[in-house]
Amino acid sequence: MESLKNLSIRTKLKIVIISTGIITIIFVFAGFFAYEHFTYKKILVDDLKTKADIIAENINAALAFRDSEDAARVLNSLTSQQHIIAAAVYDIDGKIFASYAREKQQLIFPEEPKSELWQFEDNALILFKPVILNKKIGTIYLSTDLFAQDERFWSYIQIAFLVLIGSLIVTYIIAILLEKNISSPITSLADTVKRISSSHDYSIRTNKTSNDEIGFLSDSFNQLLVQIQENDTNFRKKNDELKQAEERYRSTLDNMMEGCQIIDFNWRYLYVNDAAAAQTHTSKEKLLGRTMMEIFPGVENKQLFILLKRCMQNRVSQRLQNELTYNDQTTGWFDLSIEPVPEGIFILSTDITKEKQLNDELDKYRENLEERVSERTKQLETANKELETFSYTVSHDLKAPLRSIEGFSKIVLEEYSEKLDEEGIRLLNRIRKNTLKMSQLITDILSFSKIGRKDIVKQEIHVNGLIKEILEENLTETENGIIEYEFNNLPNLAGDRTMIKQVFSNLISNAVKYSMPKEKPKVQIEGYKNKNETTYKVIDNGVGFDMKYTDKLFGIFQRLHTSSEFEGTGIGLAIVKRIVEKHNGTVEAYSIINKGTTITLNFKR
Amino acid sequence: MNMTPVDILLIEDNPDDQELAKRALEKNNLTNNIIILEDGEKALNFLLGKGEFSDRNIKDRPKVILLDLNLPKISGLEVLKEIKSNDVLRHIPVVVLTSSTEDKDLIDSYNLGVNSYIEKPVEFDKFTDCILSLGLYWLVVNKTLY
Repeated sequence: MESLKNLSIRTKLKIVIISTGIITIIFVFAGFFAYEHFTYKKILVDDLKTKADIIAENINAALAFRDSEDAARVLNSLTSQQHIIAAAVYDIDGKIFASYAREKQQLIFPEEPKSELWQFEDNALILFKPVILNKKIGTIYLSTDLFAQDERFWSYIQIAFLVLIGSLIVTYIIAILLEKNISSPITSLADTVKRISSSHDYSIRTNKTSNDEIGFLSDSFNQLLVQIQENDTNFRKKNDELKQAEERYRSTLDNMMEGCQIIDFNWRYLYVNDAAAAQTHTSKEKLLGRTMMEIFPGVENKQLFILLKRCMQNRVSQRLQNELTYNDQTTGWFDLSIEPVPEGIFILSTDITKEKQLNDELDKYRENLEERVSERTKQLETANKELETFSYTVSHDLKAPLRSIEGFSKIVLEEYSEKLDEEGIRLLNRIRKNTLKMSQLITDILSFSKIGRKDIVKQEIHVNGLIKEILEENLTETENGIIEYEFNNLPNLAGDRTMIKQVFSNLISNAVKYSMPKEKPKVQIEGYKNKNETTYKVIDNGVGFDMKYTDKLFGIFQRLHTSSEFEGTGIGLAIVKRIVEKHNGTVEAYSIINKGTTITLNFKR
Repeated sequence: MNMTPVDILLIEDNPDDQELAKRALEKNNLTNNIIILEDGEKALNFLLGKGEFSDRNIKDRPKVILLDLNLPKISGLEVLKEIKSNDVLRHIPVVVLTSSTEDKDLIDSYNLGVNSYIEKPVEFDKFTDCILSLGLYWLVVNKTLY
């Protein structure tokens, strides 16, 4: 059966066609034979009957006239009938009147039967037929062999055979012709496909030569080929793109400054770029294919390995900074990023040796700096303390002898004035004036330095009320009577009340002092709020000053008038400036000689 | 040693200041009973009847103690502290007379329980007025315990 399957279609076709032919013929002939077989007896019988009839016709005269020679002669004509074995005529008495036998041997003729009959006996057909001439006058007996049938059969077979041969030839020819129509296209299809698959040229198409199933197959093939070609083109394109991408990535990885390594699940180096090899002070060739343990014996015991394993097994990213010790005992620091990848793990290593060094130095420097800063702070604190002690000393120890000078000179004046002349008294008074001046200077210096040292205690100052306080506390009755004041709705200020009070106090006393000589001395205080600033102006109509000397105005002990004109040590405005600046503000002066002065304070909010 | 009752105990190391104070007091005829001691140790010995003053009757307490803060050996604040923590002495009014304008001294003195704090003015006239007021107040107006 297997071998049958593997026969070519061509052969199969031939077999089919031929066997169809053969089978048809066989069936036809079988039909004929069957028909023959089933009808030959009747035909034989009929034939024999007919013969019998003919004999009877020819012999009835002989029989009637008892001419046995004639009868025998008639019977002898049966020699042409090769199949008649024997023939006999029975007379009315049932006695054999004449006989004939094909073979010249004595035959035993059967007894006359009663009636007409025919029957088959071994290999022969016998027939009894009455001879009728107005009445039955005798019986004819014929026996024939059955070989006619055999001859017939044989003829049939011969014919069948011939027909078979003939049809075989014809069907063979047809087969060959058909094969051209069926098998060839299939074969050519197969050849085309083979050609395509061996040449990988998917642009080839099969030839459709007919519109039947094979044509359909050809079409299907071509459709498939179109798809395959498309797929192939896409595949090639994708492949190229992939190759390009791979090239790109590979060259990127290869050229990166950072080290890249891929390690597989057996801890073998699958990929190492130049940077990575350089970082480990080995070469790519030494690393690839080897395990980590071979290159770095004892690595399993390192902290690094725990993280590598964690990444390898649990597929989670890891990060660490690792110190690597080389064979020459030098070390390097690397920032490692460990990522899981399909082949194992990917390690990105950045050389941070320099940075680490720098960081360490920076840390040291920072520590150093902090030390130095705290040293400096201590120094500053010490300096401040010294300054405090200094001011204390100044306030105490300097003033004491002053007091003595003042006191004793006063006593001399009081108790020994009669012993002194005018000049003496004048000189003594001059001495006394100076002691008082010195005392004031000392007080001013102390105030000024105190301001620098003190911290601002910020609060919301109701400036209107502050001005009122100052006017009440500081002005003498005379001043109060003469001077005209004007101030209204001054905006509040956030600042240290004591210090701000000092500011306005100084400014107002200045304004008063320098306006007193005028006929109608007037002091105005204005104030308003801007978007980011609060501004105050202290305006007097006093003697003013030459704007040329403005920068001296706020200097310590700098004065623009002599003390005979106006008393004062020249510290008042310096103190004002210092306080205002401490409050994040500015102070400006504007003046026209003999018209007046305006001092403007600007505080940023 | 001193059997006469003492009105004012002045503890001051500066001889000039001592003289000026004395003159101011005498000028106003406030009292003759003024003891001037130049350091804190001596002052405490005096008050407590110790050392060179061991035969003094300590029940004779001064009506007011004028105390300078700048003293040699024991500082004025320490003397103040001693006085105010001593049961025998603490009811004696103590007036600090100092040329210091330091807030710290002011605060410390009041913390220690000083009765009054005066800053010595440089002008003699003002100084004299000051002493006069002091004297009047503590010797005449104020009622002391003793």
